[in-house]
Amino acid sequence: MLSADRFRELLDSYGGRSSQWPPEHFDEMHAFVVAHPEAEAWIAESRALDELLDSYQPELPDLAASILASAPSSLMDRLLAWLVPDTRSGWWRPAFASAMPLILGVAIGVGDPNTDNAENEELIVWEAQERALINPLASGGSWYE
Amino acid sequence: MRRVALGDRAAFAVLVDQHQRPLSAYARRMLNDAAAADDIVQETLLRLWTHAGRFDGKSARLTTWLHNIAHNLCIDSFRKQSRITYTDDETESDAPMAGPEAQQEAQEKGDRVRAALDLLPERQRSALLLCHYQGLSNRDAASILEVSVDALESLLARARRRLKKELEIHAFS
Repeated sequence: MLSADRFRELLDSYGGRSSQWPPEHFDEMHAFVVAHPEAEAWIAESRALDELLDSYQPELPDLAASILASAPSSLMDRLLAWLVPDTRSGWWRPAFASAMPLILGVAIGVGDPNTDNAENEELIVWEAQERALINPLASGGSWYE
Repeated sequence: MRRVALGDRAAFAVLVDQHQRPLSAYARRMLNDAAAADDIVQETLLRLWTHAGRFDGKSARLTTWLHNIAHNLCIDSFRKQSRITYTDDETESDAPMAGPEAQQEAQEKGDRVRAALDLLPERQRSALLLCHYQGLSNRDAASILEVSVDALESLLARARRRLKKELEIHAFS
């Protein structure tokens, strides 16, 4: 059986309508009400708050048409929407779309070892040294050095 | 959701129709700024379209997943704005028509509740909105707020006690 304090805590959390009491607490709360007539007053107090809360009903717009109209239709648009989800800063989506080929190009380029300057320079030096060993004259150096 | 993930716009339209209004109710109560709330609902549902493949139906219900996104966007919005302002909305209400006096009274009550909700810290407000207005289970709300169920109960209790005080609801005895 719940203590009175615990019952009032649960009322404070979930309100006075038994339909809003969580299933895991429902039976023990109901048993408490049956055994303790004073609980009716506490429930009435909680219900007064529930009813007052219900009086605040904000006006609800119909946004369906605008949501459907702004839902991206092409695969590229959906990909961009996935990458850039904030509709309020949509100005840079076109910029991002325009930059996509550049971004892809850079990504592919970075992955190609032939574009790595440091490696290229090492390769050129190594090739020159090989040529010099095989044929010093052809490499532009003096044969007697 | 599988159809949405494959780019089926008709399936997406059905889900937008199902979830747009509940999400609007949450965001508008959370932010008290109609324009910002509408942006958040739009962004939440566009993420449903673009991120549908990430949804795992085994670990969460769709409504919990969407409320999770909306909650996080609301918290981001709070962080970006140091001050939240109320903007009047010109859209029509779905509430049934009542007499002018009853309407006036309901409006005044609603305004009092709105003002009291604004006084709550964001996490207490979100906990209360998710459980009381959105009808989410305590486990789902706790998962959205990334807390245990015990911690959620504590947030809810503190929120409701503060509201009782602000709205001058006294014990019946």
